[in-house]
Amino acid sequence: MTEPRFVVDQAGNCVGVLLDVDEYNRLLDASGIPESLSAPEDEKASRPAYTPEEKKLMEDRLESLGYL
Amino acid sequence: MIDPDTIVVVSGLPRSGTSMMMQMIEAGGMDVLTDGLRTADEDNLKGYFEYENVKALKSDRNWLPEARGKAVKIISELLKYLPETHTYRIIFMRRDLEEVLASQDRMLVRRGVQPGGQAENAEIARVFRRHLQQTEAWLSGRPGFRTLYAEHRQILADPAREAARVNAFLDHRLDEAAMAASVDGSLYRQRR
Repeated sequence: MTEPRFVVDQAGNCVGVLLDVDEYNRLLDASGIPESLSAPEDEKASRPAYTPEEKKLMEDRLESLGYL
Repeated sequence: MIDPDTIVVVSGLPRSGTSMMMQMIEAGGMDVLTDGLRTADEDNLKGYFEYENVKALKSDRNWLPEARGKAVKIISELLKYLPETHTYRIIFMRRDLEEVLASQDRMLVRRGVQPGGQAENAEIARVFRRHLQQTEAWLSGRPGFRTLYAEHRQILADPAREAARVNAFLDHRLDEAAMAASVDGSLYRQRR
């Protein structure tokens, strides 16, 4: 884990934290929050979406073929 | 010029020609990220060019930096898990859907799975069509992604021309003649 870098305002108040990308991804994974939930709304809207039945059908097929 | 940290991703549906494209890229001189765990068999006589960690892309992306400057095969369903913290050149394979499904059915049989038959394949074809449309739309909106679409049939019909297209997309870094020579049309067994 790399040391976080803090962003402070002119008054010296901590207003943000900078993480390196690998650390950010690690924390996102550890949080259990899917990236799709952390993504902006407009990005989520453009991602492929399926009904639960379609999702299962596709995942079953891909798993049977050894790709999931 | 392509950034040396850019990840080249060969994608598409399973059995759309992704292994053939990986083989072309490797023959052209680019490093490919594979682990050799899934070895060549009757379905892919020249190997699968897969990397096992790809299957866990949804939950584990720690391996992605290993792919910088290399080519890695990622099926289309998993593309959405690629973080925008990297840049990508996607080579997306397209193949006649009936050929894809016929090839998948053969593979399922070899893996000891009974294919679902015509009704299930009709439903899967519908889902795959929508998946491909949505994935292409999604790819077009991603800032760090550039995509080249390659037709399986065109590669077999004119490997030299398609090798040139792919090489241009990758900023002319590869050996086109070697890429074209690696294409073996005799392996095209689900022709319609």
